[in-house]
Amino acid sequence: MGWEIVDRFLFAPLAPILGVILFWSIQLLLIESMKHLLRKIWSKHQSLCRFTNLVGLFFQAFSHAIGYTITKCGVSHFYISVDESKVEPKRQAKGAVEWITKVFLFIGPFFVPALLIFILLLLGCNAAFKVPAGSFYTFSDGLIVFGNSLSYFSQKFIELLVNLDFLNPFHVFFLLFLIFIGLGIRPLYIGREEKRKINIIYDLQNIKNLLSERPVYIISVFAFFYILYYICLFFNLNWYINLMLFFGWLSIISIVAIIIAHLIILLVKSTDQICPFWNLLPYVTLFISYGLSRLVFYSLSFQYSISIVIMLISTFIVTLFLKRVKTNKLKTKASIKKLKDLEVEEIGNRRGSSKR
Amino acid sequence: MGIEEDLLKDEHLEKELKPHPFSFFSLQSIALFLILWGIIFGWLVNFSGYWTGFESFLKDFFGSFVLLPVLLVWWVVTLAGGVVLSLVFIRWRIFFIYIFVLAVGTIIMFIGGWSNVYNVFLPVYLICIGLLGVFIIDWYRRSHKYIITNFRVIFKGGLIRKRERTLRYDKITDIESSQGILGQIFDFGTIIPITQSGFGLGKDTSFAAMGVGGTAKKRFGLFGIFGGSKEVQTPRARTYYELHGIYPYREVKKLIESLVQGNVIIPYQKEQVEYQKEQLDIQKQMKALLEKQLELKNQDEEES
Repeated sequence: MGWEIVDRFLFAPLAPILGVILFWSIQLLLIESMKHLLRKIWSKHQSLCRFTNLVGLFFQAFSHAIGYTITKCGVSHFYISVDESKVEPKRQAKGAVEWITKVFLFIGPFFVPALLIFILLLLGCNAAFKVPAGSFYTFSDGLIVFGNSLSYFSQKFIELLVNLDFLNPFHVFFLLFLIFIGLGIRPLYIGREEKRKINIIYDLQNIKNLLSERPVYIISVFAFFYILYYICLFFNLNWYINLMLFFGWLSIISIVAIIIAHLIILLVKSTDQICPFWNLLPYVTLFISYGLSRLVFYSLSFQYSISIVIMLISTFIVTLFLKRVKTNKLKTKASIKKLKDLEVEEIGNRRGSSKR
Repeated sequence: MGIEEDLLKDEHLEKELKPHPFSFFSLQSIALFLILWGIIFGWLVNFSGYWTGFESFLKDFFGSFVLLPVLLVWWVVTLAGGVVLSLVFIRWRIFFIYIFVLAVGTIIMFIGGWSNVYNVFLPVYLICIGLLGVFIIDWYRRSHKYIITNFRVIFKGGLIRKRERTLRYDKITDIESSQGILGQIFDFGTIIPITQSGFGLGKDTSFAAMGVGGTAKKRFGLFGIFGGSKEVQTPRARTYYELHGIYPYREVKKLIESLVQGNVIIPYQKEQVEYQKEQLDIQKQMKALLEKQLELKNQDEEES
């Protein structure tokens, strides 16, 4: 009984918080992976990298401006370019207000872009958001409720994506918007040139400083979560879990958007290795395979999903084939290892004949 | 005609430039809107589920004459786009071009007997006009040529009427440069050289007016209007009189600035004064040496 009370009052509220942190960490890792990919195509596709940077900086500045607006500091100056963004308050923030604006600056860019997709989904696909009827009582219960809701949402969201009709302009705009969000969830560099310090460590360092420099505030935030949980517990309300689910949904939207952006960047990177003219073929395959699949499977109820799957598979196969056959790199018919073995054998034969 | 034929004696080519393909995006957006709306309209009329319901409603309301409301939607949305673009670019001619395009399309449809296949004709017509617009704008872009030499900048442009401007670096007093969002992404920008005569400067005018009217029924009518306007000088030139959307922006800007700096008269004059000072010093030293020599000679003569 004693352990149950400790679990209910001390550990249970932590379950959804840990869930949110877990998904946010996955998001952070994926962002880092995308930055790594972008760096690889940096020299050949500076315009694309500049574009992603601009989008990232825009969301960063936007989050910062929201922070100043919510805290009633006001925005006196809003500047955004490809290289940098600047948001200045009308009134200098101090104490807790300053801390809140910093929270928006450092954590906002991870959630604000996904919020835009969330609003679109709320308008167009609100069936994806299943919320529990009441509160939860234990740590494991919290994890299960949180996990179930998120898994249901993920399933519905993926269903929505694989059933997108690319002959419908609104669906195409939605996908483009999702890619736009995925590409710009975090800027690649700040300043004129690429700076490698703007990475996961830099982000985590900023957040760590934010938490450690004013421990009172972070304790206050936790206290707020606990109080909200206790209120929900006593009145059997779902507010607390809904709040945490909201952040979970945003993380999942971001993760999916980043994965789609990954696919785009991977395609660009792969086509760079294919020699000119042939490198257009994967892009052509992308459109033609989809169009043909739609024609072939016109009468089927699952024509959208099968067409997307065929489009992805055929583009992947064509790209892989071209990479093996039509690469920019110098290739010999025999592998280097085989050539080396042949060379050693030849030298050995020569030595043998000279000795004789 | 080759560029070499344009060059003067001792003049050599530094760079030959053309505007970046995206530098005329503001103009292209006028045509792109037609393409985009054509695609959406085509999808709405032919494939969308929304339209089926709307069409049955129209049939209940208009009977067999469904074409009229369809044409109305086609006209209204296109003109709404025209109004927005006209307001954004402050050019009402865009709105009138759209009216012309729609009127021509409607006439062709009725005269050509295409009205029974309006669901294909209307979107295809818009897409074709949009594509034609994109090609014409790109043709116009390609007509521009900027030649930067060690003496001057030659600007050439124009589709039918060919225009040309030659600007010597010593006549440039000021350089205005700008880069939009697309320019920042694709590294192109516009450089406007302003001359002593003010070539390269335009005017932004804002006007405010207020009127008071009286009714005819009253014995004493009153009518008056008062207002005012403000003008601000701003760097502005035609695309063929400025370095419009040039790529790579920073490199060209640096080149132009260094060429202008090299032709500025003040540093040259300063150099001349320094040289003259050096000459004067040498002459003074020589004079002093000659005087000393003369003194020594006089001393020798006195001693002998």
